[in-house]
Amino acid sequence: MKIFNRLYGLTFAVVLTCFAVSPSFAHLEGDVPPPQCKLTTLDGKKIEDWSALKGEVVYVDFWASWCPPCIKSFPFMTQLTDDFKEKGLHVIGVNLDENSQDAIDFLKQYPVNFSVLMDETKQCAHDFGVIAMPSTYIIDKNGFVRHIHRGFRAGEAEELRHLIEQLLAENITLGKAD
Amino acid sequence: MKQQLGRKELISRFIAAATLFGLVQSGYTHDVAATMDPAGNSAIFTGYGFVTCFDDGNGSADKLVASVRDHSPPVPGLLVNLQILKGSRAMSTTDSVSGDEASSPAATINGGNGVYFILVNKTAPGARNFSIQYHCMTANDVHTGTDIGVYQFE
Repeated sequence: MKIFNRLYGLTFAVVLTCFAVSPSFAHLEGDVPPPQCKLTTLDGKKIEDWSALKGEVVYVDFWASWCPPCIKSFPFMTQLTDDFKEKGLHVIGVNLDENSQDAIDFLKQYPVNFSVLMDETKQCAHDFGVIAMPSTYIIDKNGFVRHIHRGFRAGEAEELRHLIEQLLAENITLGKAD
Repeated sequence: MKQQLGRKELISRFIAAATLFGLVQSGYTHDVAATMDPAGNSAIFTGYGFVTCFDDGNGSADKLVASVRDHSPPVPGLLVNLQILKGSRAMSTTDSVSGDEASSPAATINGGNGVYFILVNKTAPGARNFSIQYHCMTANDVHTGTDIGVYQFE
């Protein structure tokens, strides 16, 4: 009977884990390129897609100016840029404010050293499967999403930093990069 | 894409350092944010997820404590609620003043380790920017293992 209970418990845990890795974002993690996105700079200029950043490790963070946990992650992203930009890390904050002026006003008050782009239609966030913010997607040098992270806590910063260091140390795989 | 450097950067870094200090002080904060009903036309929009409480070395969980904050401007008749359910127990809390700095009162379920289900919903059609804070706590109110997942957000 105990064995059945354990099997039941194990099955339940496996099912739960499958649900925990919500279908909305599970499909991206691994050797999968990120969705194509139409993003703009703060002054409305269209930018090239992620493919232009192949060869770099890209840290994509979806945020909004009203979102307290998003703002908490800014010092970490600033530090990452300071420490790893020269080594090939590109930090991009994708803003999801309904009114882009809110983001512009916020950034005037709290300037950042990383790139900020606007997802005015929210299609990019939709295609990435963003539900909650902050949501972070780390893209490797080959252009594949290697890690997805939701929320931000100071205790998780070291783990993310370690992962980024690992990805920066990887060599680009010939054939995959093109 | 580079932003302006110089004095602004120094101010920014000072703020960043101060914020980081605040983070260290509250290193166990668990909070996420999202927008319910972004099109603003659904009264039935429901977020459904779960928080798993476990012993991460700080001790077994005794309870889940959670609150919700509505960041959108006030609209008459439109409030954001959060409910926690585990086993035969449930508790609800509402942020009764939208758009201010305060969260709802905390809802607490003493359900020990395991999976707590959480619902976030609202009382009328209208887009709502909200955040939730959630913490699994031991009987001595020490923060312990806390993980969140989402089943549905529509």
